[in-house]
Amino acid sequence: MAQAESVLLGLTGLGLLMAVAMYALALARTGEKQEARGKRQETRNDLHLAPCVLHPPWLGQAGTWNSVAALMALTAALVVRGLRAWHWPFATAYEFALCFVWGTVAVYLLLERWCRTRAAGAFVISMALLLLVYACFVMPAAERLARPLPPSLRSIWFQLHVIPAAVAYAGFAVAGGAGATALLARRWSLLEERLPSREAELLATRAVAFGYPWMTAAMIFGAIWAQFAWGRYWSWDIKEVWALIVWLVYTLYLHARPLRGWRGRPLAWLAVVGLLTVLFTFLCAGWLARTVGLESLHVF
Amino acid sequence: MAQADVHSPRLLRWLSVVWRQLCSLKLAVILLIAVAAATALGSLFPQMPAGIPTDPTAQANWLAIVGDRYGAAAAFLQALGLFDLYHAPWFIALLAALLLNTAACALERFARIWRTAFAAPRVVGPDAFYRTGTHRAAWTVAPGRSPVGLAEALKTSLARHRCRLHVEESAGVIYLFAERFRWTRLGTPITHTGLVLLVIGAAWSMAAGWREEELTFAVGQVREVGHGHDFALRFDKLEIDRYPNGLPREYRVHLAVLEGGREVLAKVVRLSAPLNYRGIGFYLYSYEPTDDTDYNVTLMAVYDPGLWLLIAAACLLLLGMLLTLYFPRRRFWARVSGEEVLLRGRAERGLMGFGGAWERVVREVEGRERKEKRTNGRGN
Repeated sequence: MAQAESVLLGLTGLGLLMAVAMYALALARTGEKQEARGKRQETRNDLHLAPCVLHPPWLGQAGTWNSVAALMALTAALVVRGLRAWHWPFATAYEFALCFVWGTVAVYLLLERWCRTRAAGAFVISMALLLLVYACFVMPAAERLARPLPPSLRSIWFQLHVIPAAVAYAGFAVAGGAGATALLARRWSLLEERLPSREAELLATRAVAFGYPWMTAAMIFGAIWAQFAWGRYWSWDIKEVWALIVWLVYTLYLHARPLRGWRGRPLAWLAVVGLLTVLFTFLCAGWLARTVGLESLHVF
Repeated sequence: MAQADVHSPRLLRWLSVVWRQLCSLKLAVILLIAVAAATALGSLFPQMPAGIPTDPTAQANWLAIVGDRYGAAAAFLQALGLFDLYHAPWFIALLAALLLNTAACALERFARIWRTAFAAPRVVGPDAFYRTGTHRAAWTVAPGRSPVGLAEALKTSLARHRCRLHVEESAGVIYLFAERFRWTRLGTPITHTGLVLLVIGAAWSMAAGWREEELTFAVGQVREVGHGHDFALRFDKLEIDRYPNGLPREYRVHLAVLEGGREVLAKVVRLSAPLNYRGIGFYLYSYEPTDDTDYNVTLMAVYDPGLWLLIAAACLLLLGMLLTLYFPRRRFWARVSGEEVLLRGRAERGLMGFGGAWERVVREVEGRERKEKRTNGRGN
């Protein structure tokens, strides 16, 4: 079983790697093409029916199919993991990291369809790949052991807390990757209207708007769970503090969006900064708690 | 009287300036950055555990331990409130300002939506209106042909997307207006109201509630709950289920409620399933083995009258943002004349935008137009 899990995770990594290569190649070639083409006015009335397509189109599509394959392999790996540990596979930091990767790829594919652009694929999927590498190689081996659930996690509220958190983190990861794409694409913007930068910005905004209610739900359900289990819905635990910061950053994102001065580059930067706060909350808050000497009830 | 007449317009003007600043999005953005930065600052310093800030000796002891690490800076940091940042007056003031801003925005926005909610929609717009905006489409009508077919296709398509249709005709030109999710504009004030109630509920539960964290029981011991209540609690036993590897799987605390010495309720308390009696929650806090099978337990009693308000507020918060972000209002306007059909759409900024509805409407109309042309071509 453990071997099956490793093989499936290896396949996931391979699929993600190939997807990144294809998306990146297509994005780079599109950039060249756009630059060479220069400013050519499009006169069709259905600006919104013809979004910027990566060139050559089959390369972008192949990227999508590789992501889908990687997602399926990861799903299988999570099922195997759940069967091995005999609980939902998000009870340890390692399992949550795998769910984070799963969510990032899934939410990305969903938004790729909605916004009909593959421009952000290279950045978003490489984010997912880095997280997978972190979970499989950088995390201490003890973290990767399948462990039975301690009494405090044996509650429906734990699942209601962690699943929305994974979905929200995934949405924010997609937004961060799209923000980075927009910043890059703006460097070769000649014809703003038709370039990936505008579409990457739209993708980032939608990803933030997608993740935000899930983040709110994760915090609310976490508070309800804490009230049931420890009689205190909010205790300024370091994870709570950083989750609040993440929530505030994305609240800022949604409120700054209509303001003129924030449009474009600043908002794209904010998406990237938001992702950094998410990663800090997930990866570094525990370390910070130990360094400063704070207490935390959170396992991850 | 005369004096009041001179002063009140100035006062009113001043008040209206303050009000406008208070409802401004810019202020919200500045305050959000400030609160986020302050919250992050608090995680860089050790924070006093609950209870210590109110007890001078405990506070002095705690500071002596922490002071070691920060040396001469400790007193300075303490004066700035950095060791109890989330209860420091300046942090509370910052939160209060953000809350005031939120409440003002909710009020202002609600008033604006309410004013327009019952107004009849504007179906007819000036010509230029149909030629601007990000979402627009145009179809030319072949000379000698009627635009009615196109207009009908548009109507069918919009109706299929569950839009509410309004049609007006003036000077031989048909105007269409279609709208969906009209009421979801209320999402924003609902979210803001939820947030304000959430903070009010939290303040209420801090002010009116109490908690006792050190209710230690030996097996069979009875303790009065106090705080003006005349019932007592008896601890019968603690059972611990274990996994094969010896790690605990579940704790079961057997408790009984006594009134006037008579047992009125027996309950098994688990983690995540506390005993609730007369609004007071009893939680397992810790346990200590006395011999092989018996344990002493420490329970925590919590009385929190603001809880129901908090839960209602959280529901409002979530509902409001779901409406705003997932179901934004969508509007279509069309102008159908003898020469051309112009369509314009606008979706409130949200997650979904048109959610693909714009593309589908345009494609459906175009498909119908193509089909009509084909059949006409065959007929000719």
